[in-house]
Formats: sequence, C-alpha cells, structure tokens
Amino acid sequence: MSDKLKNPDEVEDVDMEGGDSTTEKKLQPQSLDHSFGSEPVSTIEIIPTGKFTKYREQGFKAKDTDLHGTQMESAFEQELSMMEHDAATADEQDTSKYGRIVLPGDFSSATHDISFQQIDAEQSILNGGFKDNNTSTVVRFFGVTSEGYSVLCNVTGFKHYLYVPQPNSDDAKDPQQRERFLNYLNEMFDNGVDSIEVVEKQSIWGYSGDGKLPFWKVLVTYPSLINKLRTGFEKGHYTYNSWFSNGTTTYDNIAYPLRLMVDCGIVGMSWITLPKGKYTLIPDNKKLSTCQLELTINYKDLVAHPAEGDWSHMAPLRILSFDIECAGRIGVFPEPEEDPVIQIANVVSVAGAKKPFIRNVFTVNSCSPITGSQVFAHDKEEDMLRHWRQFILEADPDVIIGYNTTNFDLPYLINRARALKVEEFPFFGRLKTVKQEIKDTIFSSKAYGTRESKNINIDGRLQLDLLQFAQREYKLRSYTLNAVSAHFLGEQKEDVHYSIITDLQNGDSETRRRLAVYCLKDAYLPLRLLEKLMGLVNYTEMARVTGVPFSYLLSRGQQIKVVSQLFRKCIQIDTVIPNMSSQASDEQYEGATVIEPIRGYYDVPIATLDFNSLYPSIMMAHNLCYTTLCNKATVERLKLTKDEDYVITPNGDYFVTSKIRRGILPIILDELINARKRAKKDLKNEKDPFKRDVLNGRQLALKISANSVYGFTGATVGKLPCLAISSSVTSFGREMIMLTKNAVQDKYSKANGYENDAIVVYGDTDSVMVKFGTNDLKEAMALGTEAAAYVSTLFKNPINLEFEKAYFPYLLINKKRYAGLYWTNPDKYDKLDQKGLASVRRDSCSLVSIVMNKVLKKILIERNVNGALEFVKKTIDDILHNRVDISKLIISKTLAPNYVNPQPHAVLSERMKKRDGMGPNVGDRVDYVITGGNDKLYNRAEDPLYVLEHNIQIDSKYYLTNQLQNPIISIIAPIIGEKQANSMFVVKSIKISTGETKGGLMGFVKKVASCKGCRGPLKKGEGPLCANCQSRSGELYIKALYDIRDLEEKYARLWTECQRCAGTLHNEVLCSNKNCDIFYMRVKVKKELQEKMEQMSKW
Amino acid sequence: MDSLLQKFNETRDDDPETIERITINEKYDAKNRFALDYKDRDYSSQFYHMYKYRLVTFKERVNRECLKRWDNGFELKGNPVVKKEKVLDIQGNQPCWCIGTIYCEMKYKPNILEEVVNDTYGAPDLVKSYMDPEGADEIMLEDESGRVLLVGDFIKSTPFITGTVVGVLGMEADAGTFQVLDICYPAAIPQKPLSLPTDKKNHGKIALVSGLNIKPTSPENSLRVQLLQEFLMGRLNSNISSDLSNIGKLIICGNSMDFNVKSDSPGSLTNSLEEFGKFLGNTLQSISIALMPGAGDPSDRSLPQQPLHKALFKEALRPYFDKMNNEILNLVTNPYQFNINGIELLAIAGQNINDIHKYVISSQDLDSNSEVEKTDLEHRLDLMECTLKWQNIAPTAPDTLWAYPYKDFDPFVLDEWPHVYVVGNQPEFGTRDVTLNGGTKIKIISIPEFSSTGGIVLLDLNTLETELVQIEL
Amino acid sequence: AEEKINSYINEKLLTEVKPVLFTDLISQFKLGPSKAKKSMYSYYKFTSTSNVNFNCILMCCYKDGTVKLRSDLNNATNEMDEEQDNLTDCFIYAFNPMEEFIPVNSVIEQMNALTIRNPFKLATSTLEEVKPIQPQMRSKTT
Repeated sequence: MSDKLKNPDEVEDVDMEGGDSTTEKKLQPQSLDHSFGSEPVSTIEIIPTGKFTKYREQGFKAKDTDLHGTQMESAFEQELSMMEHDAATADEQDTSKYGRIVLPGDFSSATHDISFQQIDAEQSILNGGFKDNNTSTVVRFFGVTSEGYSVLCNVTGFKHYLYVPQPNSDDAKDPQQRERFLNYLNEMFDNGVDSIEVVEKQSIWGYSGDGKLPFWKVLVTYPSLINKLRTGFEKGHYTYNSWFSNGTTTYDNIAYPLRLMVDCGIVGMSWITLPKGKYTLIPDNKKLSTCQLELTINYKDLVAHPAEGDWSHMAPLRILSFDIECAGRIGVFPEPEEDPVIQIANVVSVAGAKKPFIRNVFTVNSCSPITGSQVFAHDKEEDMLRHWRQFILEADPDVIIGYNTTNFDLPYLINRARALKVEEFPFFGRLKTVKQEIKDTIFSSKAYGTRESKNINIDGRLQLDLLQFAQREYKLRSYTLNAVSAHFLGEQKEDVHYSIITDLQNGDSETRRRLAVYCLKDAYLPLRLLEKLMGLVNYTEMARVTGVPFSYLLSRGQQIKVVSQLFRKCIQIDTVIPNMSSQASDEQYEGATVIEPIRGYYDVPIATLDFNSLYPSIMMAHNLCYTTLCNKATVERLKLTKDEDYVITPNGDYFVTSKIRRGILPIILDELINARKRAKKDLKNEKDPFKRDVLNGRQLALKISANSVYGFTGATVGKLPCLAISSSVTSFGREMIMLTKNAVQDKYSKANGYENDAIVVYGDTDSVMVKFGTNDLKEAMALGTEAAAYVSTLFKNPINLEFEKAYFPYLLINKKRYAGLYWTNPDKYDKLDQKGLASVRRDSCSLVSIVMNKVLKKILIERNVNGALEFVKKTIDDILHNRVDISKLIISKTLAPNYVNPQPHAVLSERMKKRDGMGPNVGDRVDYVITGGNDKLYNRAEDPLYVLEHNIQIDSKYYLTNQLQNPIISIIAPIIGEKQANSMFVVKSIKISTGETKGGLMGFVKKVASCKGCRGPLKKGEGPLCANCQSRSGELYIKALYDIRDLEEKYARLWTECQRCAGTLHNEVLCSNKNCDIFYMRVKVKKELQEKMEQMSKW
Repeated sequence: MDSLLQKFNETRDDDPETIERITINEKYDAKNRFALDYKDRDYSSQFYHMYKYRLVTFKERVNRECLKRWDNGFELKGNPVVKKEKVLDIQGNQPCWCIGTIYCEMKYKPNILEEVVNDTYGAPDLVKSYMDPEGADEIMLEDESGRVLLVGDFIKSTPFITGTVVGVLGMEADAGTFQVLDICYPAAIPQKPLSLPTDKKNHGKIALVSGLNIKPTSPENSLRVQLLQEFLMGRLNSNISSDLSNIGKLIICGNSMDFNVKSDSPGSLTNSLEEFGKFLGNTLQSISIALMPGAGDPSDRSLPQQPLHKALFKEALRPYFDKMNNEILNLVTNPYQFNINGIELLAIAGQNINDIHKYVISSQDLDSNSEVEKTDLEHRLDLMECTLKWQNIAPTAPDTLWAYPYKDFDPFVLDEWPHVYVVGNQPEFGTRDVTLNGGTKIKIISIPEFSSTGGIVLLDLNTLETELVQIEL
Repeated sequence: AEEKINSYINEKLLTEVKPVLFTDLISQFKLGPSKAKKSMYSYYKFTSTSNVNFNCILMCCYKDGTVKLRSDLNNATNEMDEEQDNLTDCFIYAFNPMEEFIPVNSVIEQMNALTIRNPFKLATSTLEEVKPIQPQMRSKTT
C-alpha cells in the first residue's frame, strides 16, 4: 500500500535533498509501526486532489453568443479557480473573495456590448437637468451580466401615455384645433403634456364590426401626471369645445415601468443587450448606485431578448441567506428596543451552484474559529451591525433570502440599529442614498387569502422569504423551519429554544461557537430549501411567461399577470383596453356542476374521465373573449348567421365565432398551451440538470398562467371583469358535464350490447366518474379510454375528454370527499388518493390522520375491511387504556392577541406563565393535550411535557368523540352502515363512564408496596412477591425483564438518534423541537425506564 | 464397522476411580467495573457524558503518542506542522494534527425516527451492514467544539469507527474537510507482569464456549449440548480423562439461549431455561462454570449486561446462585474481566465485534486493488486487535451498540491491557498473538458459536496455547 | 448383572419405544463410562442376530480432538474404514428405535458415578429453608 502511494517525483525530490538528515530523521519513526490499522505516512501532495476541490460549475451555461469577449470569461474563471483553491484559507480578516470580479480596465461604451439579465425594475428621475426626448423619467433595470458584473441601466426617452377616443365632432379632426386643445391642457398641467397623436385602434371590449377607430394618444412628460389627466377625461373636466364634457372612457391604464416593458418587449427576468456605442457610461463620481456598470440608453436602442433558447439561462446571481440570533430576557420574546442582536450568520451562493462560496458569522464578543467558515467577532453590537452592512455592500447579493426575514430578521436589524443610533445602517440597497424603510402592508387575494406583512425597500436586490414562499405555494400543518425542513428536505433539525440562546451567549467563546454553528445551519437551510423547491427557477419562469417583474410575484396577486399578458398581446394588434371602474358587484353567476354522488364503497373499478384544461379549452373552442362579445342588436344590425357567425351560450350571451374574429384570450391561451408543449418536449430531450430545472419551471408557469385567465374574467373586483365571459364558460361546463354523463350512460348499456349498464356515480366541474360494471381493471380502463374518445367527438376542438385514471376500490363519501386506489396502468397502482378528508386539518391531533390513513390503506390497498374495523377497535381500546404516544394526541394552535371566549390554548398559556414564569407569546404555536376531569374543556388543556412529568390522565372520551369519531365514521359508514359505524363508538362511550375517576380522596391513600404478581399489598420485609406468587417468580421475572429490555433499546435508540440530529456527540442535546415525531417518546421512555429499574431492584 | 467396534470395545480397560478435577485460582474480590445495580441506575443524563469521558481520558494518551510521532519541528513539504487544540481550530493552508473522536455517518445505521415516521418501529432488524455501497457514507472527526469531514485515500485503508479517539495529521482540503495523511492511536497502557509457571507437570486449562443457543424445539441443538455435557464430564473419551481433569473451569461466553421475544411464545423461554438448567445441574457436579450473558440471553439489552438472575431457574438450582457458591457457579457480567492463576483475561460475548463488523464489512469489496483476499476470520481478528489498539473494546457504544448512559465514566475504556482477550459468538475459532505499542503481547481468541460449529476452545494456563475440540453430528 | 442391563435396554427400547443412551446405564446402574460402553456393545452383539428394529448411533473420537456422532451407518462404513488410522475410540452412544433421535436430558445426582469430580462442594444455606410465614389476613382490595 505504501509503495503505491509513493510519488516518483517526490522520491527524486527526497534524493535531491539527501543532505537533509533532519527531515529523514523526522520521517523515520512513523514507519516503525507496521501493525494492522496503522499505515506508514503518505508522501502525497498536501494540496487538495481533484475529487475534493470545489465544484466548478456556476450553474449557468452561457452560450458563446452571449459573450462578446472570451477573455472576460476566461479571466472570471481563473479568478474563480483561485478563489476555490484558496477557499480553505479562511483568514479572519481576508474578505478579498467577497467582491465581484473587477471590470477590465479598457471597458468602454465604444468597444463593449453589454448583455445582462435584469432582475428588477423601478421608476425614477434622472437629476441634473438630464432630458431625453423631452423627459427626465427613466426606468431603472438592475441586473447581472454573464461575467458577473452588476448593472444599473437607466432607460431614457420613454414617455408615458393614455388613449381616449377621438371626439365625434368635425372640428376634432382639425390638427389646429387639436393643437389648441393641447395648449389648453398644458395650461392646466404646466406644460406637462408632451403631445397628442392620432392613431387607429380598436377597443378590446365587445365586437361591433371590424373597423378600427381613431384614438388620441396623449403623451406626458411626467408619468405622475397620467392619473390626473385620466381623471379629467373620465369626469368631463375638460370643457374645450365640449369634446369631453360628458366624460369619456380612457384606455390603457398601466404602471409606467410595465408600460415600458410592454412597449419594448421586455419580460421579467429576461436578458437585455445594450449595443456598443449606443449607451453612455456614468462616471464613478456621478454614480447613484454601487453597481459596477451604471449607464443610460434610449429605449429605442436597447435589444430585448425573448427568454427562450440561448437566452433562457440564468446569470450568476448571488444569493444571500442569513439568520440572526437575539439575546432575549427571561420569558420575553426579543424586542429590538431592548434585546441585542448577538450573531448574524451568512451564506452566499451563486444560482445553480452546488455549494456556497461564502460562509461566515458575525458575533458580539469572542467566538472560537469554525472550520470551513469565517468568524468575525466584535466587542460591541454597534460594530457588528456596521460590519454586517459593509459585508452586504461588498458581497453585493442579487437575491436576499431567509426564513421569516421579511417579518422578523430584517425589521429587527433595522429597528435595533435605530435603537443603537447606528445611523448609517439602513443603507444597504444598491442605491447609495436610499434608506431602507419598514412599511406595513395587508395583502388580500381570493387565491391566497389575507396576510399581514412588512415590506422593506432594498433597491436592486430581490427579496424572497422562504416562509412566505412556503405559505403561498404549499398547504402544510406547520410552517416552522423545522416542519418545513422535515417535509421537503427529509431531515429533522435541532431546535434551540430562544431562552437558551442567552445562556450560550453569556458563556465563553466555546459556547458562542456552539451558538454560531447552530446559527449557520439556520442560515444554510433556506438556501437548500430554495434549491429543493426550485423557488428561484420557478418564479423566474413565471416572470418570463407572464411578463411581470419578479418582485410582483410575491407582492401582487394573480391578476397583474393576466393584465401583463393582455397588454402584450393587444399592442400587437392595435387594441386598447378600457379603464373599467373597480366596483364591488353583488352580481353573481352560477358556478360549476356537481353531479350528485351515489355514495358508497365500490369494489369494482371506477373510471375517471377528465376534461383537459376545461375552462381554457371552452374559451378557445367557443371563442369567448372581450373582443368577441356582442349582443342581439349588433347581430341583427350586421345580419350575422347563428352558429356560423355567432353563438349563443347556454346562459344567453352572444359571441362571434372565430370566422368573424379570433379572440385575444383564445390566442393567448393557444400560445401558452403550445409553448408548454414545446417546453415539455425540450424537457424530454434536455440532459443538463440545471437546464431541466429551468424548462420544468417554465412548463409549470405556463400551465398556471393558462388556468388563471378564466379566473381573471370572473373577478368582480378586478381590472377587467367580464361576467359574461366567466358565466358563459361555466354554463358551457355545466352543459358538457351533463351531456357527458348522458352520452356515456346511453352508449354503454345492455341495450347496446354491453355486458353492464354504465352508471355515472359522481362528477365535479371537469371530471366524471363512471362505473362500467366490469370487475376487470384492464377492461374498465379500455372502456374508459374508448368512452373519453367518443365523448370528445361530441364537442368542438380543442375540447378533449381524456381517460386519466381509475379508482379501484373507491370510497365515495360525499361531494368533494372521496378516497380510492389510483391506477394509471393495470399492473400496479400509483398511490392511494384522497380528497377532502380530514388528514391535513391543522386543528386535529395527528392521531386522526394516522388512523384515517391506516384505515384507508387497509380498506383500499389490502382489501381487508375486517382488518380495518379491527384496527379501529384496537385504536379505541388503546386510547381508553392510555397506550397512545402522547405526541399523537397533541393539538396545536397559534396564540392570537385577543379572544372573545376562553380558548384552551390561551388559558394554558396564562397558566404556564404563572407556573413557569414564562410561556408562549402571541404568534407562537401552543401545543396542548386535553386532560381528564370535570372542569370546562378550556381549563383542561395542558402542556404535553407537564402531562408526562406528572402522570396526568388524558381525557380519552374527548379524543374519541371530538377528534376521532366523525372522521372515522365518515369512512366506514359507507361500508358497514351508519348505525353500525356509530355503535363502535357508542358502546365504548358507555364503558368510559365506568372507568377510574380521580377523586380528592385519592390524595390521602397511603402508598403501600404491592406484589408484582397479583398487586396485593406486601408485608414489610417481603420481597417483590407475596407468598402465593412465589411459585411464579420465574415467569414474572421474565416478563419484567423483557419490559426492561424493550425500554433499554428504545432509550438507547431514541437518544442516539437525537445526538445524530444535533450533529454532536460531545455536547448535550438541547433540542426543543416538539414537531419531531420522537420528541415526546424520548421524554416518556426516560421516565418509564427509571421507574422500571427501581422496581427491578426489588427482586 | 463391526470390526471397529470389536477392536475398541472387546478389551476396554476398567474404569478408574473418580478423579478430582484440578483447582485453579480465580480472584473473586476484585471490583467489577461492569457491575451496574438496578437501584444505582440513573437515566436522567444523556450519552454525551460518555463521549466526554472518553475524549478526556484518551486525549492525554493520544497526545503523548502524537508528540512522539509528530513532535515540534516536524515538517511536511516545508511547512511546519502544528497542533490544534480543538477540531474547529483547524484552518486552511496549514498542516496540523488534532485529537478527536471519530464519528461515522452511514446510510444504513438504525434510525428510529425513520421507523416511527414510516410506522415500521418494532419490525425485525435485518441490517447486515451499515455501509452504503455507493460510497455516500461520511467519516468525521469531532470534539466538543464541532466536527470536520475527513477525506483522502488514507481513510479507505484504515478502519475509522465511531467512538474511537485518535490523532490525525493532515490539512484542510476544502471548506470544512480535512485530508488525512497519518493517524495516531493512544499511547501504551500498562499490563500486569505475566509469569507463567515453569512446572510443566501441572497443565491447568480452562474451557471456553459460547453460543449454546439452547432451543428445545431443535433436537440437533439439544443433542449437541448434551454431548458437550458428556465431554466435560469426561465420559466420551476415556483415554484422555486424566487430561480432561486438567480443565479447571468452563467459561460460557454468552448466548446460552436462542430467544427472540418478538417471535417466540412466552413459554419458549421457560423451556429453554429448563433445558439449560438441566445442563447446569449435571455439569456443575463435575466442573465449575462462569456464566456470562449474551445478546440472546435473558439479561439487559444494553451493555454492560448484568448476570442472570436466580429467579429464572427452578428451585432446585437456586442454591448455586448464592454468593457463597460462586466458586462453583460464578454469575458474571458481560463484559467480564477476571484473573486466573495470575493471568488477566477479558471476555466479551461478541456484540462489540459484530457491531464494528457492520461498519467495515464491505471494505474489501470496495477495495478492488486488494491483492490479498482476507478471510472473514482474519478480518474479525483484525478488528479485535483494533479494539485493543484503540483501548476501547466497545467504541460504537452507545451510537449503534446500545449501552447504559454512564455519567463521567465508560467501563469499556481500558486502563490496562489484559493478557488474554476473548470474544465470543464469532463464526469461527481463531487465535492470534499480537504485539502492541511498546512491545506488549496479548493473546486474542475468537470463540466460535457452539450451536453451529460444535467448537470448544481449551486454553492452557501454562503456555497460553489453545486447542479446539469439535463435536460434530 | 449383564442380564439386568440387557433387560433394562429391552424394556426401554422395545416396550417404551425410547432411545437408550450409554449415559442412562451409567446413572441407572452406577457404572463407569468404560463399563457402560462395553455393555452397549454386548447388547449390540446379543441382538445383532435378531431382527430388531432400531438404529445404532456411534461416537467416534479422533486424534485431533474432534468428537463425531454418526448415525447413517450403512453409508458411512467405507468412510470409517478409511478413517480408522485417526480414530482413538469408537463406541455405541445410543440405540434409537425412532426415526429421529431426540435425547432427553435430566438432572441426576451423580456423585457416585462421576469420572471427574468438581473440587468445590455445594454449600447449602440454612436460611434458604425458612419459608415465609403465611399471612393471616389478606387485603380485600382485589
């Protein structure tokens, strides 16, 4: 082995150094020990070998065409290699690797194109008398080039505008009169109106013939004027020649930055090229930003690239994830006015890279070094805050992420800096003189609900809070970082309670290192979640598909995305969009159809026929759009032919067919669907993992966008509500579902020669569930496929009914509540599918979902109804005999500030504060179990740990009747009948009342040692058994011994597992993560084992 | 066949008078480091105390050895090598050495959290190896400050096992990783002087057996145990009875019963105990026994296992369990350290090696460059040698080998090296004379599982030589 | 004495249909192992001319310390002839009337029949003889 490791060159080197006897002398002792397990010292090079160096991929694949100087790429990679080679050189003060690579000295507008991915856009004004095309207003695009240079691009010369219809009178056609009107306006608006142009446009709203009409395009010098100008037109304030005295509709109400993006063809997160010679670099002394390249360019000169093909890659965006630790007072959640920030951990990675390239932690007071990370210790908190701000400016992240950073970490830092009077702290955006401010916002949306949040302006840096991302995109029982990590990353996380943090801080540099390691983990997890959930990739593709800036995706609802797409499509066909009044309307329309379910347990295959993208396909098939909507009068005036030139929808609305005019919405939908097909096809052929992620994000974004178009039309509080479209869509949907049901039942009947009569057992919105009657799954699938194809022929293209899956067996409980074994091929089922059941209700204990899933598994997978019933009985028995692990009985609720009525968790919080001196705070989740007794329910909520420590009795009846009974009965009643299902619980409930009760007298009973065998009292001095049981001593000892053995193993396994999770063998496990499945188990086993040992000592 | 029978049985010698068995001197007054009374147990602490005790104990020993090996002035490629007091003090671009505990993160280690989440807790443990064949497992060096990932080719050629405390020489290769160039074990510990008697006439021996795995439902097993009884009583081979009387004691190294509480009915253990009781009742009339519990015996699940309790056996046998009769039946712990005729022996029922084996079982498969294919026996003897070198006979406790949570103590840490190291319940018999650091010599003996091999090991107390007697069916 | 032994073997083997081990003779008739082995052989010779339905189980002792039980005698005859240079002893361990050989062990006071005696004597504590006093009154709790 040793010979193989020798490097011939090294041997020669040693020979050349032959005179160095000292070295030889030092090396010799090592090779004396030839026994097993100790190899001679290796002579290999002490530098990292290939397999241990950092990953070199930066995650983005820049095409050659993207680069206009291969020298730059080469320089960048060389710099990066040097960084990686020295990565392990974590000198305390060496931060040279933080900054971006330096611009080439010869960089100039005359010689270099600039292509950058823009990540954010905002409106601004250039000062100093700058004017381009009579306007000083610019849109700022922040971005990054392929090489990694940061860019601030001021797009100049673009004037905001609106449209109004040209007045009907003859004098309105006179250019001189128009000029006078312009002057009239400018007297009111201080010469802010730049010009009026006459253009031929058509309105998106309604069809009334094919002609375009003259519109006046009114351009303004200052975008802020546009709203006042619009109001004047709409309310009839302009009395000049009585043209607009009655008020007129204005068109194209859109924000200035989005207006520019639409007109220039710029979508969110797309690439822009600035041709050399066309832009002007701003010298360093005049820069407003910290970007390496700050420049101006006229909007006509920039080249906007569609985000496809070569321009679909991501720039090397820098992503910063950080976490702060605060020292709190006993029993008080940290407050920035009082409690210091003691540590800030930072991890910086490049988008697509496998590992971060910066890992550091800022601390107050000394902290021992951490291998693989940098530690910056400070004597004072103020110094740390200043240093951290400097770090942000130097690392210059494009994206700032974290977990709850929007509502906690960032506001806390800013408020803490204010309390300490660190005046320069809140200036860490990319604009040097713009201060970060905290604003409270309330976001309300039908899709996402209502959430209060804070908003902080960090210009030029995207913010992505993983907590908000998870809340928006996923439905989970809990959104703690522990729960989310466990769910998506498959790993538990040690959770240190905030009360312990202060003790670690007040220890020494070793304990502060312990805290710092923990803090670094918390900073690293959001980065891993972002990668795992593909948050950045998916949101980037959504921004590209819909055309909105990235920042809109977190702060705005769905409507802005459809608005953006509408405007982009309309500009191509000379169409303008009226500014509708946003008024809440009481008008309602009929929704989707639900075919009444034939409830029961089906032990035969149930085929599911699904319409593919039903609402989008209805809109496309019947050409439903703003532009195709007409009415009876128009139809008669133009002498249109029914069903050829126009259709009447089932609810009575008129739409012209595509023969007359193709609607914009159908065109948008068609393009989205085709783009998705292309993306999926490209995805199939793509090998590069990161590229595959991008394509997958793209196709998902396209799917979501297509589905949101229908919702846009039906939003009564919306930008462009049109109930005629949405109600027509649903009326077609209802008609189609019923038609499908009848067609299937008519065709697949004994009368037509089939073996069985088909029965539609359920239907909802866009799917129909059919029992064909056959027991053979393969045959049922074949019939389903055939039926879907047949029904599809009854409808217009592209409406398509597909056979997608069969349920076998199938448990149909009620509308929108069912479960079944899901098959897409006859050989193996895909999964157990369920809808509307209580499995994920957050106010149940986890036992409910555990039992429900188990019962469903036994019924549907094992086909063992009796086994399921036995399991239910056993569970009931376990509950009655207190054999259920307490973690399964925990109910969890968030503590709100005020309650009208007493709530169990609120009462418990008060009790804990009185009892322990501290307890949950507002906003914390409170875990509790319901204990026995005759008190009111809200007084019987108790902390699970307290229950375990004090052997308090659980209220079994509560868990049976209030938690478990209804969900379980809803599953088994369709199988065995309502009466029998209820009896399983009722009988037991009677028995409960005869159970043991805790009376006050029990407290006075003297504790007497009892016989291990028969529980009878023992006389003083007797061993563990009474005289009668002595003969059974062997048998009884064995039983006691094996209880001990089981507990010993359980104890050892639980606590070693906790050590592994904590990532340390030598330190105490401090975890207080109650979400973990074994947290309460380990508390309980410790207690039980101690008790059993004391009993064993009596043998 | 008839001729053979005639040859031996026609003119058989007369029976000699009853011979009294040789007396060997075992010390009984020594304090047993592995004793653990029920009433003294405390489960309020966690396992980190044991690791702290190990690190404190071994750090001093390893440090002495490291200073000898890599003393001041030692250089690697022109760079001075420095000592790092703590693991997280390791910095880049600087060759250094550091002392810490090895921790292995392995894919197939038992994971109760996973079992609870997947609702498979309580299912039988079928894992034969913890190792991930795809090589995703990680080896780390840890102390109270934190841990670093160990990398390099060196760690593939040397067993790195969770719980061992070593010194490693190398350099930070990548952020948070340490490339290992050399390794250092604890400095030598004392061994009591061994003076074997020169009187060759008195050939005292002890018999070592393990893995009886008594199971009344297995006739073959019962027959084998009965033959063992007859052999020890001197009835099978009359010609060597005088030799057999030199066997002064039988040491049963665990797993006397084969009992899995989850699969067998409650009556099975009672039957096994009854059968074992008969064996004891008969054999004790002829030879003294020291009885160790093993993994399958009705004793603790955690190490160290405490002696079997008299309540397990019938009334007639209970007198043997009295303290005053421990010369006849000595109920001992697992592990068990004892002194016979001045020879220090350390015996363990084999759980330690069987667990460590799961950490390295695939190393030979992975090492395609291996020119010598070691047998499993050689491999296990290597591991036994390693535990002596590590000076910890159960390093993987408590991580994967369940153990009692000692506070400020670890009984598996050796303060003295024994003369003989006995490991029971192994697949094969094996023996090796090892020479450790400083020239210390120790005899390693691998005791085979009797129920599958029929092997009984005889250890000569004068020469420390071993011989294997095999009972075949 | 030989007749008594043969009669005992007959009774157990034919009437009770149970296996007979040479150790049974040791404990029943207080024989030494050598004598017991001889007696087994005598019985074997005595019955070899009769049509008796039972199997012989042989015990072979080898020079290297191996002790081997053989029961498939027909197939093993040639093999044993080849081995005999290594044999140090060979005797009949048991007569088995059944298909399967299931030995039954039992605790027997054997002090008079021991080949090798344990030098330590079992001490009996008088405390063990004291039985717990029966309680005069039991609790009615149960």
